[in-house]
Amino acid sequence: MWEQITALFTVGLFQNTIRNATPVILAALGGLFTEHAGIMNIGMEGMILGGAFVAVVFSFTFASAPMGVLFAVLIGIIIGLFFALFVVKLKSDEFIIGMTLNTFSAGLTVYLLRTVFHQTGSWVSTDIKGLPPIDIPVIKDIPLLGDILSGYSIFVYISWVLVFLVWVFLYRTPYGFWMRASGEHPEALETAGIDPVKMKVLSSVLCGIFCGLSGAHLALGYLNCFAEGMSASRGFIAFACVVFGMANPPKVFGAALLFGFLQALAIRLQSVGIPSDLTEAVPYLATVLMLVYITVRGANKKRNRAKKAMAVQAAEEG
Amino acid sequence: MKKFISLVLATAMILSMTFVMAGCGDSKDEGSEGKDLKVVGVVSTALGDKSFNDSAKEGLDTLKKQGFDTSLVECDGDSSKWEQSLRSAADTADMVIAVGSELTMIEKVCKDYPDVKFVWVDMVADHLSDYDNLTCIQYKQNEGSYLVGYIAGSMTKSNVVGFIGGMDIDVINDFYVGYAQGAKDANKDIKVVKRYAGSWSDPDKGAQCAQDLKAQGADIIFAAAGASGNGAILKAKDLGIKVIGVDQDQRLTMSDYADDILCSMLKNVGNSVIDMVNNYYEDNDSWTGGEVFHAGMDGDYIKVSYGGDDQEVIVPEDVRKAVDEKAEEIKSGKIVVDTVFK
Repeated sequence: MWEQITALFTVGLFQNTIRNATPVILAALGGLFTEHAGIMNIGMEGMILGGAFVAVVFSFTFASAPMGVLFAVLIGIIIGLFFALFVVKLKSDEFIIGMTLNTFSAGLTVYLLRTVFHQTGSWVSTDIKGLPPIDIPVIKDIPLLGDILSGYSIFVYISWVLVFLVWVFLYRTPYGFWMRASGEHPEALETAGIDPVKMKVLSSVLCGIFCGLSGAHLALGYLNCFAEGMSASRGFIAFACVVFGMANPPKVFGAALLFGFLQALAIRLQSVGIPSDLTEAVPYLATVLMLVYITVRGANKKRNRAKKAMAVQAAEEG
Repeated sequence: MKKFISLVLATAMILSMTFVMAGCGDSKDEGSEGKDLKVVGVVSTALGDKSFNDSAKEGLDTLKKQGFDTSLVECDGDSSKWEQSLRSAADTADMVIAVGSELTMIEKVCKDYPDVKFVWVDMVADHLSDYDNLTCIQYKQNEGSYLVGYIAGSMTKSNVVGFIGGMDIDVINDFYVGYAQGAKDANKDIKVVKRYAGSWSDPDKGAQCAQDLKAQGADIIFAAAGASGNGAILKAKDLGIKVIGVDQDQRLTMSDYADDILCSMLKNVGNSVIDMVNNYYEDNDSWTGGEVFHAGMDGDYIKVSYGGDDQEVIVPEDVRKAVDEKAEEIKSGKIVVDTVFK
């Protein structure tokens, strides 16, 4: 039994962890902006799907992966503006607009795939150019670590750098400060002479760009194909990671990695003889358990703080 | 102004959604000869798996060319649509073809429509003998899988062959037992490893399963997992494996990747539907309600296919000859292939 368990932890497991986590990391980083700007964005699923579709279409037409990525970013900006128009400008319910975006994107991509490109289900072609894998010079020669860390598409590395950049943006630049203020206390921001609406629109556009990248990675980063509904709830998982990581970039990154790891582990657990129906549920079960843990710990902290405060008060009075 | 913009945009959205519905929905062309039988297919998931469902669609398309009035409804895996779609199909059709093992509510529906004939593809109803307007087609996928298993067993260099299933269900396990038996008959020392992707439409999962099986030493993988299995084919070259396709000849449906596909086990859903409908049309008494129709290698419902005429065949000739012999032995009953069905 023990041998079987150690056999689970191979290089492939960690490779798949990173592969599963990357689209979620990119989308979750986008979700951070809207979360801080006070928009509950559940439309990331649709944004990712739109990005994936456009990336494949333009990679196919120009036979060039960078063109696919470029247009995926452009469509991200458009969807972001579209989302902002409804949610920020017209003040519609963000939940409904998010859901609309998801169904709209799912329907439109299927429709275009079938009518314009005459493909059903999945679109597979050698003309869909993918992003080449990149070997990192020194690291790739380190025995175990090299296999785990090297040899992915550029997006994987970009996503790691972006975690840091997003943190700098949010906590060390005035724009990040204003963006957080637009969510926490828009009136105060307005008093300071900054338009909170502009910051919210910016957050939505940034989210669109990041989700576009996430979609491009999903479609061109590994398999080079498009399948109907290929975002496969990664947008929702990203949203869960944002909440889970308390909207803090490094914590969100950790949450996404954990989720990717559990998903990769789920497939492997089958080799120990656990039924696949059960292993499928592992990532979700673990998420629920972690959430319970975090909530309980948070509640304990609060209680301790309250106790301390009471003790201090008692001491002062006494 | 704002109201106006939002109204326009909302209208545009709703309109485009309707287009989507119309695009996916049924198309009704009057057949050239106009045969007086309306056949409606109900697919529990969606078209585009490039295997099982698409094969059923091909069958219906052929029927339309033959002059039957046919149409097709997709339920996109939405369980709330299954019963509704079956009922609304039965409202207008003379014959309903239910494609997908999930459509278990067909037993309830066929009771309410005694004049409509129901055909359930790939699954056997629990109380089949109670209904004389329902017939089930069951495929002997275990026999076809035995043959491709034999090919895998003969051609593997690592003595490990892999299997990817869509889900852990009886039909898929029927593929597996046949495959494992065939592989063992060809090569006694062989090890057969398997994974379930847990989905029929996630190519990424299929690719991960393939990678995992390769890590266990498999160099030939039989993917019976719909579109998820296509992920294994896309990554075959990188992983250094060969894949065996399923349901349709995947060397043709994914011709860009024909070099990575050894052969395919055809489960010709389309042909079985065509024959079923034509037999009924020509002679109403040929209808075998309440019985299971076993579609096997007789009638070519199940067979091994090596690609198109203009494609180079990968499987060596001596292996193909051995496979033909094995096929004869199965037909004559000399070899009994394991099955999970009683």
